Amino acid sequence: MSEKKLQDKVVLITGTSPNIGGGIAEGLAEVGAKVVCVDIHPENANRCAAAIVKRGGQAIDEVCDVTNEEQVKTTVERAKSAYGGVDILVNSAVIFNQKGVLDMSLAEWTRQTSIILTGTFLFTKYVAQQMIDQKRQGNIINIISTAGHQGQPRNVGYCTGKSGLLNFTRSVAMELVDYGIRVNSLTPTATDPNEGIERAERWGQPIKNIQQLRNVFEPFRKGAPLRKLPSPRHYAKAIAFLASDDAEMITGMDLRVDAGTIARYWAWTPEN
Amino acid sequence: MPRTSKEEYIRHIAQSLNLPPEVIEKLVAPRAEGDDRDGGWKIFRMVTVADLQPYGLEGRLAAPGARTILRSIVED
Repeated sequence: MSEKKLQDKVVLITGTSPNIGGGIAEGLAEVGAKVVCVDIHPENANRCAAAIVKRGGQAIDEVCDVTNEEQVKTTVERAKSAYGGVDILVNSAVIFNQKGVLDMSLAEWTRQTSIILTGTFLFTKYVAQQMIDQKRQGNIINIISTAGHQGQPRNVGYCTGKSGLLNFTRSVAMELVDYGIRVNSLTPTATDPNEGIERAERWGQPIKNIQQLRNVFEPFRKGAPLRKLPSPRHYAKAIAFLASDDAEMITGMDLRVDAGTIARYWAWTPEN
Repeated sequence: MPRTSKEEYIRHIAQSLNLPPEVIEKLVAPRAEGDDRDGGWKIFRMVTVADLQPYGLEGRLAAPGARTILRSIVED
């Protein structure tokens, strides 16, 4: 991305592993954003920020449990101390735990849905309030998933949480229109693993069993109408668009970067 | 990542951290032959107050995140 469409904008992104979140963080830094990399794992936040700095961008790292209200408040305040405030919030924090209603414990359900829903609620609450207090007409982008649109079996916490974020996005978008804050969502799908593999290597967190990982995603690729899967850089470009003035008339909308998977007629498989 | 010049590496880090290139230059060393990570260069030690005092920038280390970020890219 050569155009600096987010020059000097401050992005706070939750969930900065080397795959999707880290890819979005690096991609937004490439178009000029200063990035607050937030993760519960110190190495994810730290290495994401370090990777951006090494490429000439500006970033800081913040360790935060998105379900802890005091930690969220502190993180938002620290973003303000470092960069003056937040222009763009990307709610990407998630955990994966593929279980169904029959085998998932209540504790696991609560933890997963809390991270996805409550984490998004808390960061949206405190970042939006800061934007309002500063009269900053910012942007909030919530990361969904194709599993938030469809009934994937035995992934009930993830499906439910991500689906909930769709209408959370619409409700909050309507609530914040009077403040000039736009709220949208982005729907990724199963993501091509190669960019994440390269990023993890570059961050000093090399992935073991690379071929095994690639094999996992091959069936998803075959089912994608475009016959290939998106990479994190595609999500970063879409978020840069949503957060830019080019999208000034877009709010409450879900932008799918899914290679056509949700639009696909159920009885048709692209390879046939 | 292809090898880059020392000057370009220093320029990126200095720009990112908003520190004088002369300060960053003291912290930079070449990587081993064949190791092209980060263009073939690395930060081998942490910046100190003494490094920053000639420029009146010793307070910069107190800025939120600054010390953490600089320590994160040090490979000693």
